[in-house]
Amino acid sequence: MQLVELQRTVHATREDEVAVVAISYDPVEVLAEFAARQGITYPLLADAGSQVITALGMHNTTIAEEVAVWGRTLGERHRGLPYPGTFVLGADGTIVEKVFERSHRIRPAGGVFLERLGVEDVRERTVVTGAAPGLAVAAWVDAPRYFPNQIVGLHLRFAVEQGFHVYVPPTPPGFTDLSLEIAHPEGVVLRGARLPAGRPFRLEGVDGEFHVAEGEFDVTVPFHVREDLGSVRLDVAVRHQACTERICLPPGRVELSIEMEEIRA
Amino acid sequence: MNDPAERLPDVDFEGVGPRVGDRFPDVVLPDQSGRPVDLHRHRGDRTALVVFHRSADW
Repeated sequence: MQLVELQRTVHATREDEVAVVAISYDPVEVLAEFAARQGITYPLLADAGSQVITALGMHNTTIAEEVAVWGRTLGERHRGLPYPGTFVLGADGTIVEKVFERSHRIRPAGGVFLERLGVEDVRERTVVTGAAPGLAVAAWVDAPRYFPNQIVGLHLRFAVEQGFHVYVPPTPPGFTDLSLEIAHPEGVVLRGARLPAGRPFRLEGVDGEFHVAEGEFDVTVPFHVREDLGSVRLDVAVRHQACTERICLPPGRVELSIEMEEIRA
Repeated sequence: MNDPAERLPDVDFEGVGPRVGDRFPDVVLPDQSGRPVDLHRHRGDRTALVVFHRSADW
């Protein structure tokens, strides 16, 4: 669950740099029990009655339709629910980014936010992030500017939802395995992207051998730019499908764009 | 294969909640210990993740 994952990643390793705060409509007693049971030490704020959720415009007003799509029954517990949004705040309290998911259950892993917050070694870099069912992706390049004909790395960090895996090639036909498409202007020369080999996996009742990857893994795509291209944009499209042993989430597509300027003499 | 996620209502999330570029609003709410927490004061000069979630109960 996301709250626990954030405790073990962002809060456990970067508390001095990053404050984690959660807000829900639970009363204090429910949060106290949850925090004790799961070992959560960052603040879980109790917005009983959803007053702050509503005042901030975060109240999910489409919940009735969503519940119908998932085949569930609308109940009392759905009243006052917020949209599943995470706000990334800069050191001055300004909103730097908003990340919304289509479900509360599937959200980007903490590590993806660490990169976005400029923690670890990427303080100067722009990191773009995206998410789809079961998978979060962060992308950045080695530097904001390229020198013509010098090789630069495009880095993609994948975070698979805990408990799930994604298929990687080769996969029997009919299944969506992880794939990358990078659209770029002419004059940008990409080297091949090596997806992880994954571990062999057999699916009960299905012929053929699968390969799956899970947790966090990186893919680097080296490239160089021929002279005089000025501003360059790479459009990355990731297709995937996240599954457990028993169920699969809908296949997903994440689109990210990275821009780079040229270093002029 | 059926993809229920495609049938979810379209929501323009940019317009939902506080906007990118704005200061996150002041929020003071009790935390799991019952003590009131002022979000920005708690944050100090650190960056922050503010996570809206459904119940911890279900």
